[in-house]
Amino acid sequence: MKEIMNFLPELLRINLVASFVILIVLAARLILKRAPKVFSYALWAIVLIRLLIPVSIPSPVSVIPDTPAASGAVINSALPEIEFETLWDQKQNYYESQNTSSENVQVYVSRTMEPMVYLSLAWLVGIAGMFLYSGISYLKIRKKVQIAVPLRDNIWIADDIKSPFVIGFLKPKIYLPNNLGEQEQEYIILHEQHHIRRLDHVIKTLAFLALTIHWFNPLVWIAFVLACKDMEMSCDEAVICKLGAEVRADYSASLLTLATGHRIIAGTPLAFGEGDTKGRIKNLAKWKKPAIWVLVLTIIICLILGVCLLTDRVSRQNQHVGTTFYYGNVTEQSEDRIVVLCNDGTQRIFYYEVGNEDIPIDLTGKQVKIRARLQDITGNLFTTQVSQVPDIRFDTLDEAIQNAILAHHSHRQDQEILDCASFFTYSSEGRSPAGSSKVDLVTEYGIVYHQGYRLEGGKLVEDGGCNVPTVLTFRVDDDGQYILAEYWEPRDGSYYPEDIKAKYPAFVWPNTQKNLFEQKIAVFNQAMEGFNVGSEVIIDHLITDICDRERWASGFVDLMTMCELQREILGYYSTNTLEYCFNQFENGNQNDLRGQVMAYVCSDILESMGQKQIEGWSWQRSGQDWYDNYLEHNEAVPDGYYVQEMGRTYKYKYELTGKIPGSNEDTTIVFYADTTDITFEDVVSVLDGFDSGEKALDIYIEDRGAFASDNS
Amino acid sequence: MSDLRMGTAEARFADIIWEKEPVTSGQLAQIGLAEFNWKRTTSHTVLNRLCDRGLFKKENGVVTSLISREEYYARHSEAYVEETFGGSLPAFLAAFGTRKQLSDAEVDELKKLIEGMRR
Repeated sequence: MKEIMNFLPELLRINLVASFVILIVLAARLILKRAPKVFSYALWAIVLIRLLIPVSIPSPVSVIPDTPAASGAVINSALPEIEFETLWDQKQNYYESQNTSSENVQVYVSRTMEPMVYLSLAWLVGIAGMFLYSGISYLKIRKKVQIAVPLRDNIWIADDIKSPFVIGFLKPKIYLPNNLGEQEQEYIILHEQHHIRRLDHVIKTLAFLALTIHWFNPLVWIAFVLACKDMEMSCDEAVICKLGAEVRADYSASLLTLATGHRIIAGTPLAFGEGDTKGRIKNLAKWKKPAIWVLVLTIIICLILGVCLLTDRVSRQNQHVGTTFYYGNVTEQSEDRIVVLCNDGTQRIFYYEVGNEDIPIDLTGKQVKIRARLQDITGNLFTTQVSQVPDIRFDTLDEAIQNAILAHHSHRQDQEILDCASFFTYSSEGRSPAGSSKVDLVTEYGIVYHQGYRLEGGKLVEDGGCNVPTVLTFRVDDDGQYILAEYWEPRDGSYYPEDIKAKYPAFVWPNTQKNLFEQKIAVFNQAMEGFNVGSEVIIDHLITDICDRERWASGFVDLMTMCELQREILGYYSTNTLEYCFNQFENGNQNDLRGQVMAYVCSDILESMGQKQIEGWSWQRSGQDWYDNYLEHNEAVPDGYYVQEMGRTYKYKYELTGKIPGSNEDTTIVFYADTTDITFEDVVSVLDGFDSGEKALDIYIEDRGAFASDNS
Repeated sequence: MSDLRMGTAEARFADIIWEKEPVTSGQLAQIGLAEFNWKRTTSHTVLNRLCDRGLFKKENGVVTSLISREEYYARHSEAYVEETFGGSLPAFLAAFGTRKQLSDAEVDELKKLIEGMRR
């Protein structure tokens, strides 16, 4: 039963492909209406092969569309390669080994398998019915031909039958009814002998077998009926070809003699689609010796159809696009292969390729990462790379993703290097087992940005990294924890677009540049945290980096344009950048390029904070100049950190001008608050409070020196 | 006497009985096996059919004729078996195919078609 359930998806795939082929053959039959019927009959052979033989031959000219199963859209809870018995047991072991209670295992198994069980049962009942019917018919026929006397060779005359037929497989016998005239008998014998020579009795048995297996598809029934018709008509034509067109009338008359009964041929006692006397006589009436060009054209059409319909497209089904790493538990390992119950629930067999010397031999029962090298036309996977990995689960998807990427990309032995990674998700896919709304597989389509960093003289130095589209699949176990099941990357070069196209959802095309900046910042932050580096180091590093690029720039403004990325990162550290730069300026003498850069960056940041910048400032002047000028015009030094902190904490900014008690001059007070309901008096009272040494709201007056803050 | 019609196999078997009579049914079974490769039961079935039609009689295992060969063929110049449609297949399967008894009109039409081919 388990094997059958396992076979169902493959059966449906075969059925779907065959249905497509049947439709094409039906169309071709219309075109070949006037051609000898043997060609129509030959076309049905394609259908028969498609229905019975699941092996696919890839070719670029195939017209077979990608079936859902082939393109992976159908949930691959069961695949043909899986040995289900093992999988079943392994699944149990797998879950038990994870200390999951057996109750959960039950739930899991039953919810996945229930609909499959019913479908399998229905299918089996149908097959049993078909076998029963054909078996009974066969026995009936056997009984009827008991009372028969030999005519000559393998030809017998039976009393109890109404139509001639062939019975037997290896030594077929022709049975004729006893109501035929001598001339008629000879025609019928020729007809039946042609059937035997052409092995029609074998073909029809196979066709019936195909019908038995695919009984649930009406198209297959239509195909069977029409194929039998074409078989008969082509046989008629063969006899006429042999005896000459003159005998058509007599031959047709013999058919008419038999017409009130029905003819049964070729061992399988299924008479329908057969004995179409009217159609056959009409066909003979139209018959002409076919012209050579008709034959040539027909042969060409049939050959083309044969090649196009018998082969499968070189598709994602056959081609293992990209580079895939599967993660899972090794269930079996032998000299030439390794069987892994992958974390996505699918059991896969990987054959070793040459160069497997590095694969450890005692991996059974261990969690491994395995690189799927390629897939041949029979769907076999190969590998040269298997390594043991820790079996770790994560509580959140983000953690799991982060860990997967880092585990994938950091194989460097260098302890000095810190690997950082960021993942940008384009699209997510969840898979639920049949009959459940709970997601058990999650697939993330996105882009990985990975960067290694080293600390050199207090600065972060990049050391190898990549930016690559990646697809990650995780299993969500019953505890809601995530475990990596598949790690996918496209191949390089010309394969790249092809792989992406095959793997990603149609509406997504990963753009490695689009979110680069965000990803870079995220990665940079990780590095800072990892090395426990203060933002000062980063800012210093970035400004130095900008200055280092001067030689490639044609001027200062060009340099700024060139270093947009660095400036953006500095902008991200906005308050820290201001603090750093202002400190430098306070030290004075920032008259070199560095000063200019700092001035430009600060100006940027201040502007983004809503501070109006000095108009007409020439960047030809030094940074120190800018700073001094800034102090002059703004009357106050905004403690960058402070301003920003206030802006973050309080939503509203107020500028109030008035006289503070004990002062004759108008004073402008800027303050931040989280309410709009504030008056000047409120501010003053707060200031009063401050004077008395009590800390109230954080407020500062825009006058350098008169500065109120908890850290002043 | 409408039941006197025989099929080809029956006629061949009857010929043997007429030739060898009186003959035991055991001998007939042996002849059936030798001539037609028939099983014992098949020979007995055919014999019983012939006896039922009143052509032969079986007494204490010995078979003798009730009607002579000459008399039989005088009555039935031709071993014509009327065709009947067996209808042994379930109706649902019959519906699938084009198999059905031809109507008189259809037979006429086909006959005309065949005449057309002769020209």
